[in-house]
Amino acid sequence: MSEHERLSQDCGAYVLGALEEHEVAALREHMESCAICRDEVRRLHAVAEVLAAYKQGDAPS
Amino acid sequence: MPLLPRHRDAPSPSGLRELADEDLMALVRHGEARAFEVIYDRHCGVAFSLAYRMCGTRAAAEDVVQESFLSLWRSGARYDRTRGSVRTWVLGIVHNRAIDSLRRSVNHDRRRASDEGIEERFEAPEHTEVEVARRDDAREIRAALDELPEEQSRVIELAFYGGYTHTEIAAMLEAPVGTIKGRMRLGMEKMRRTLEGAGVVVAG
Repeated sequence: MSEHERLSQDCGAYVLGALEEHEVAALREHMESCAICRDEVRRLHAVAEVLAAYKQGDAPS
Repeated sequence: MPLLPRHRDAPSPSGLRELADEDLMALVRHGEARAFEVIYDRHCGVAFSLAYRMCGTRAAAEDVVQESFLSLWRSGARYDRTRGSVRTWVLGIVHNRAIDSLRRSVNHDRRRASDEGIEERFEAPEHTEVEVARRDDAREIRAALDELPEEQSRVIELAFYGGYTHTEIAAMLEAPVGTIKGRMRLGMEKMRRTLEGAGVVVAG
């Protein structure tokens, strides 16, 4: 499995804030040279942002 | 936890505490309340911490844990050990109850907002429009989550509402970390397509 194949698996967990710290660092470094992963993270990040807005709005006061 | 009925001819409490969860559940199936109390003592801590992380308040979390264990007690006969550990089963029910609780609080807010709708329209029209848009989005987001296979929505909700890492979720659900990451990625990608279709997220 190439580095890209391995690290691109982490994109979903990354935008959910569910990666371990060392994995975050590895994916960020990989994204500096990988436009495919950068794009995927950007698109999934938009979903994570609306999830975050929804979460704030729904939290019991 | 409410007091549960006790059986006079049951094994001693100390004997029960030496039994594995799965063996205790066999007793729970026969209505043995003290076996269930041992299950409760073992798992109420982790159940509370999951409920608290998802609900955000102690009071809501306590209600969720209470409801969950009552439901577990009533449905104990349906526990199937071939489908996972008792802890996974407990956390699954707590997770579902916490989601129900979050939904109830959204509906409550919605009703309250509609009662106050007239004043809001006079006092802050822009604010009201934003609020309406936000509620519509919330419905779309909920619908997009509901459309996902349960195995995907569960890991996304545990990460997002529970704040757990994929490693913690893998341990909790007793699945390989690669599987959990894959479910997160597939689920988020599917939500992206749904939400782009609904216009909640701008395609790009």
